Amino acid sequence: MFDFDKLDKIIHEKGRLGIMTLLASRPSWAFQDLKSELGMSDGNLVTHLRTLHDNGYVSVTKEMLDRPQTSYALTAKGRKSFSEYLSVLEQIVKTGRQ
Amino acid sequence: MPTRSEAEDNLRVIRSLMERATIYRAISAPVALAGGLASLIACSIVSTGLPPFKVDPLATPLFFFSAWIGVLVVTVFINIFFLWKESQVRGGPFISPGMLAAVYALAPCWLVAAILTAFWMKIPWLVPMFWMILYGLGLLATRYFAPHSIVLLGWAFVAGGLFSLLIFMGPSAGEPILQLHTANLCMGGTFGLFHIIYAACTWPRKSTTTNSGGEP
Repeated sequence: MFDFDKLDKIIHEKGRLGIMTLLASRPSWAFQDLKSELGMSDGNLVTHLRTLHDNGYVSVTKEMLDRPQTSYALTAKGRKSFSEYLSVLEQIVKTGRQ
Repeated sequence: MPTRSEAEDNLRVIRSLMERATIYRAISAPVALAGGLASLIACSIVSTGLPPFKVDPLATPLFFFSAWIGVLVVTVFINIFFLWKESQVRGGPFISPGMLAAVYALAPCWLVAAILTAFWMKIPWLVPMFWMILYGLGLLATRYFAPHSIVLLGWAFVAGGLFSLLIFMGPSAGEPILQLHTANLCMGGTFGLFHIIYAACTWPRKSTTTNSGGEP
């Protein structure tokens, strides 16, 4: 029997799942790009990013280009957790088919 | 406990976001507009310069190819400038993974086009048809990460090239110099008008999003 407790509850929330997916697709994402891609409000995005950062899934880089820019990237722990989360989802789908 | 359908929904969301995130537009609207205008200018210059107007018939192929390769060089430089500008705004590297993927996808068609041009310079009216088809195929090769508009542009060029080829292979193709005039018009019609239509359809609309300074 499959152990559903393996599913990472931090990633499983829809908003954070979107953020983790985008961060997994490129080396790093600027805050504004994440916001426009996900269609989230500033406050909502900040809250989710903070949760992911506090859990060690996301690293934050603040740069001064023409204007201040904050970019986000997955940490090694975040990448591993995301990969495990995908495996668990696949397992659930397979279990459901049996 | 998550159900199977919930897990499938989440996997669908992940897949769709991943696909959207890797989209790369190799030709921006301003570049298409510049390239389209340059093509129309070249088309009119070549039309008025070709025999029986000014250029010596013996120098015709060189004149024809110089004008159109000139358009290519100008457009490539404009494209590089816009991609560089975009990378500055984005704060990312100029040679992005998306750009590399686009170059790898376009390279085979561009290479074949360059080789055909070098070998078939003596039949200049035939080469533009292959330029159109190969350019279209190159754009279609980027379909896995390109927006839908690029794919449509690719199909338009393939169709335009094949249609032109049918005209030239037909019995009413005419004298070589007449064929070159027609080939020049086909180039203006496709590389000129198609790019201008593409630019008009994809020109960035003004965003209504405002920055409320909520960056962490």
